[in-house]
Amino acid sequence: MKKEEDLFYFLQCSTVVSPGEKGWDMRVKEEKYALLKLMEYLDYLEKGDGSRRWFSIRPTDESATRWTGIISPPKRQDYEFTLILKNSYPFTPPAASIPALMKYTDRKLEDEVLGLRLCDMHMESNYWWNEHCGIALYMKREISYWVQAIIFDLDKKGWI
Amino acid sequence: MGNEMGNEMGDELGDELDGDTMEPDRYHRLGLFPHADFGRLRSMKVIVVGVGGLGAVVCDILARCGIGTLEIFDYDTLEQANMNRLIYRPDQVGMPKVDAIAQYLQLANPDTKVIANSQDVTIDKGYSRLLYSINSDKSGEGCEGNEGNEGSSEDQKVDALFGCVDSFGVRLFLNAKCVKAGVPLFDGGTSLDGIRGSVHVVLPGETPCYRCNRPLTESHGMTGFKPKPDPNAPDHVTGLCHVTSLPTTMSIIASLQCQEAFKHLLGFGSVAPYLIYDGADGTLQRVDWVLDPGCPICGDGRAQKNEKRTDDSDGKAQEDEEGADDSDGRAQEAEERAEDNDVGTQDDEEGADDKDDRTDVNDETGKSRIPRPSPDVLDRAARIFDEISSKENGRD
Repeated sequence: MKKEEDLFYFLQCSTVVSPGEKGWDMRVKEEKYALLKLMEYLDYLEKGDGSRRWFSIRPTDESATRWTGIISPPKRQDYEFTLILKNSYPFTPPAASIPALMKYTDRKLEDEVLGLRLCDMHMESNYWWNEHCGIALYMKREISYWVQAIIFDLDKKGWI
Repeated sequence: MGNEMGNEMGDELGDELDGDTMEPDRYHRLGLFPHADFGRLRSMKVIVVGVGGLGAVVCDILARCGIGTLEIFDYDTLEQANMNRLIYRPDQVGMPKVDAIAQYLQLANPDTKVIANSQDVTIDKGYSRLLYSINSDKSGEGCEGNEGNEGSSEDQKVDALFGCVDSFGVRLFLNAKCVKAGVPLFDGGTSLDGIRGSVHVVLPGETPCYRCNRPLTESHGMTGFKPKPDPNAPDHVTGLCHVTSLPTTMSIIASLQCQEAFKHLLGFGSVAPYLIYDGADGTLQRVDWVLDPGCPICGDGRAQKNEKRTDDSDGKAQEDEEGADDSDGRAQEAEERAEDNDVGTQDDEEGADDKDDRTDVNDETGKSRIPRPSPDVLDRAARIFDEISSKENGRD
């Protein structure tokens, strides 16, 4: 059975190197390539030119281990999010957070209903992450989940 | 009262016998074990990553069996919620877990040297410290900044690493680093419903690694009973972990980890690569994993048939095909991926020339199951990405 990571293999990276190791710059290039592919894919789906894309992202440090960006849920305000690639990346997923929603989040939370933190646990418990998965797949699989579901859920509950 | 008497007796004996001659008493019953010499543990060093429900019991067993040096990693602090597990005391709540366990181990067996690291092994100092400890040559990656430790027990070669962590990603990370450094990994884990568990032994070069086989998932009933907490319930508390933890299952799995480790370290019995404990049925099952020759971590893998298609132009395909193991299921999987490749690139309106983007590039980073675009394409993509992100940043 094909899994999402098989179908969206073009969002994955070939190089398996952690931050700080030799060859990390190659991985960063592949990450950018995959993100570009994701943008092209989304633009194709939306038949748009990128102006309606739901996210933007850029690295904020030279080694590209800290990333920041904006997510734009439809008809809602924009939120800034951050990604941190630990030294254990890509074996562990990026650590992501939406600072404006941090008061609803907690590292200890793990349940499906109140899993309010933007959490790598979601992915770890799904056992789908592997070292070829990159930021692009994380955006598609995890951050988009927040944009499509969690933020609306929080809004519906009157929490934000 | 009894303890006081014991101490007095010990002091009296201590007056007559020196510390060295007292030691055999502590290990007397271990010394009677017919299959191996537990005394060899005295010169060994092990690392325990995570000292929660599993790790605390693992540390306890190892120290009581007389391990020489025990290096422990955990960045968490003790909470009341941890009190259902063994070893920790309520008066230690608020302390870093590693300090609490070090305090306990000092009392349990003063012979064991405990090195406590209250750091996260996946980032910064904790990461460097872990790499420094598992790399025996002490000149490898991440060993900077530890120059002052040469010659001490902190510098000693590590004989085993116990993975007692709570997340899949960190297990994969530990697995990768252990395989690379050649350090045996004894990983334990319990299911989310608290009644099942497993122990995975990775002896680099001998047994399959953690990445060779996907771990058990919902289809195996490993996470079936997880209750869904009701956020509207009056007693619902946010900020708490809602995953159960049974001290019985925890100590069984921790004991199995230690048992397998002793078998490997002391050379007796047959080490089980994978043990599945099912507390609900009361069964313990041994699984002999099949080593995956295409494993990206421990195999010579990363080179599969999916490179054939992109190799057609330069005629290297034949060589790679001969080198690949035809009986390997991953080859077929990779072929399917290559088919997806066609579909994926056709979807790109702008990327009409992208079909030839991904070429077989073999450099010092090795081959990969995922084909890599050529350096030119990557450079171009990085440039375009930077332009887009700077433009969007300006727009925002």
